[in-house]
Amino acid sequence: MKDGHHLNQPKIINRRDFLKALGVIPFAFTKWDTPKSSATPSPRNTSLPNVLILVFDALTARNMSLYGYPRATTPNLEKYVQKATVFHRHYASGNFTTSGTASLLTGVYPWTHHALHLHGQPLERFADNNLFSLLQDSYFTFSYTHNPMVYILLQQFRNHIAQLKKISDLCLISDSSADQWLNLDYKIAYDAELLLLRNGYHPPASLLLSLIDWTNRVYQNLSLMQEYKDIFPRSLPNYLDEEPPSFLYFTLEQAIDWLQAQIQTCPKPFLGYVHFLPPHGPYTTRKEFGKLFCDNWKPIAKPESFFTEGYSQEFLDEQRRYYDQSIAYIDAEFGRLYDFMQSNGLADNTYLIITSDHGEMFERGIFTHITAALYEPIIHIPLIIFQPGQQNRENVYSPTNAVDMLPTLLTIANKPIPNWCNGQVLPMTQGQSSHSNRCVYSIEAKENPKNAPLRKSTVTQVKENYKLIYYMGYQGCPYRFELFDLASDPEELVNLYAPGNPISSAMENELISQLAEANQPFR
Amino acid sequence: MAPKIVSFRKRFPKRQEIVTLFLVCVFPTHVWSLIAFLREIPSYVMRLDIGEIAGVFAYTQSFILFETFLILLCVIALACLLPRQLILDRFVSQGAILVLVTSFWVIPVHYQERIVSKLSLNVTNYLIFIFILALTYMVSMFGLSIILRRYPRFESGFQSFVDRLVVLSAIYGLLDLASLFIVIYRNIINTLP
Repeated sequence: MKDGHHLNQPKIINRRDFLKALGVIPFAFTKWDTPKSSATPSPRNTSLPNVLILVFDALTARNMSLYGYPRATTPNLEKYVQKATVFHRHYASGNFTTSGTASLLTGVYPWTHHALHLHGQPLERFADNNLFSLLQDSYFTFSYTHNPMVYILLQQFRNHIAQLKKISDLCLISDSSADQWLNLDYKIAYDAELLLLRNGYHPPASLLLSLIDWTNRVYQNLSLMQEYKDIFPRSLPNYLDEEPPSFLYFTLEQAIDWLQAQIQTCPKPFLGYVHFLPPHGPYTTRKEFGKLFCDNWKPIAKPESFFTEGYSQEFLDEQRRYYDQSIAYIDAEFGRLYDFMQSNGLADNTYLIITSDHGEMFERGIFTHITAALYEPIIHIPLIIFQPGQQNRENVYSPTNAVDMLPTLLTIANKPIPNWCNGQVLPMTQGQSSHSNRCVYSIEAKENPKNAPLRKSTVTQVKENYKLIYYMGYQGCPYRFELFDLASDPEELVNLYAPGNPISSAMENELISQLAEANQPFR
Repeated sequence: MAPKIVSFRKRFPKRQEIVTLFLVCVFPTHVWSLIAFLREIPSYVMRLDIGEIAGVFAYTQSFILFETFLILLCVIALACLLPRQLILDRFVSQGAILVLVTSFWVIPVHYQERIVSKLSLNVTNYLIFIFILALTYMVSMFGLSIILRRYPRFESGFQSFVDRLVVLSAIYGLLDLASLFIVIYRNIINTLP
């Protein structure tokens, strides 16, 4: 009877059970540590110099005073390159982060690695054939980026990176659940997060929580603006994947501070790959840089491109000024890092490499870099290498490409260059250059399926002084060539392409044959 | 202490009612998310394989399941806190009106940027637009609630509509379970070296 009565009683949690249950609450607040890499520690050759690769996203050589730009955007670099090698005709392999960075890290062109889309990754075989996998037994490898697109690439290589920091580790605010909670499945979780909360032009997949998320981002944006308005009057540097307000705010200063501590304390020799987002848009800078370049200087007027986005030249000039200010900002922060490396003796034993993944454009009606028109501002990027013990400035004028980074670093580490690599070892002096007859390529193929031959894309081929641009498969422009003599026409104003022209024919045949060869495995 | 607990339990909806309302909540959240997902399929096909697309779908649906639970919790909380004749007495039908009308009125909020640019609204007109949106929301919410109470035939008709909706929503529940399984599986697989 008593038992029966007990069974009929409503189950009420007693005080003791409630207190026991409270014990699990702290687990809800536990943060996952940065995932430990499975990169196997092995005895390293301590006689090797360190390698530090600094990539500044969307930095075009065309807007750097180091490369002859009329505005003094890079005074620090100009000062320090007196003991470095400057590559004057270095090209990105792609026109946006994923394709350009994937080429730098794998040593092959986009038509081989097929990381052709925003948020894409190279083909699976490159997960174990990349910069980190080939050098992990010689160096302690570490990496950091502000850019989710780069982080997606690094996630594919994470088994070979000893220390891969999360994006949020060096951010003031990073409201990405994919980064913080689902880091090990980042690529897919990030895509789902975009779809659910920040779907850009289309409404997000979450009916109600996306509105709360949006309100939260607006609030964060306003409070950060309020807090930092004296230092960053046009907002803090941030990452915009789709539409404002951003979910990720940072300062370059914080990342540089971390890098200084990292290179001092991490095991040696190290291979560091750090991919900063600035000067990528939105071009926000510290207050002191916001006053620069309020001049009357105007770029050379250029005709509208076939791919014009309809931006007025006034708007483009204003954005160019903000962009130039951002370059001055990163130049100052680079100066701070280099001073630190010199004062600690790290510069004497480190290959310091400054480059970018792609450029930026403010002309022909085109803004930024998501375009099919691969003119020089989009693909001509800086490459500066500070070698240990170098005393003089060297200038290299032969065409080089981002795919050359991997073979060059393998050579520095006394390792063989794999035969699948598209790149060549960079000449460290103009005299070493055996590249004069070489063709280098840049490819845009965002509208092609990943596992298919390229049918709709833009391919540029640079050989000696000439540059051939091949547009294929676009609506209203099924096949089109443009040929420029960059020595006499660096602004690409006069299209020399003519079907009977021997230079046109030779370059066209070579490009078509290379493209057919690259497409062969996908047919 | 005990009498207070009993009193609280009296203000709590029945389990069967909660399950029915949960399945009502499933309908707008899942249909909306499925439309958004299907819209993105062409871009996913360009760059993801089948397994990855299934992964994106699984994460999306798992999140939507969580969102659905949150919506249900909000309605239950309102039912507990407000006078019982407002929601609790007609928990399923009144809760369903609350959820469905709110979901329907949220859609123009998602499209507000496009509406503003299409109609070239200035700040004043934008505020008028928001005001009209809020006003029509309140009118429909209270109007339907009053009709529900005044006209038993409407209530029984609405109840049978909800019953049919619940059958459809059960299918989404199965999709959610599969999605949760995929999310757990992907995260276990990815912890392996």
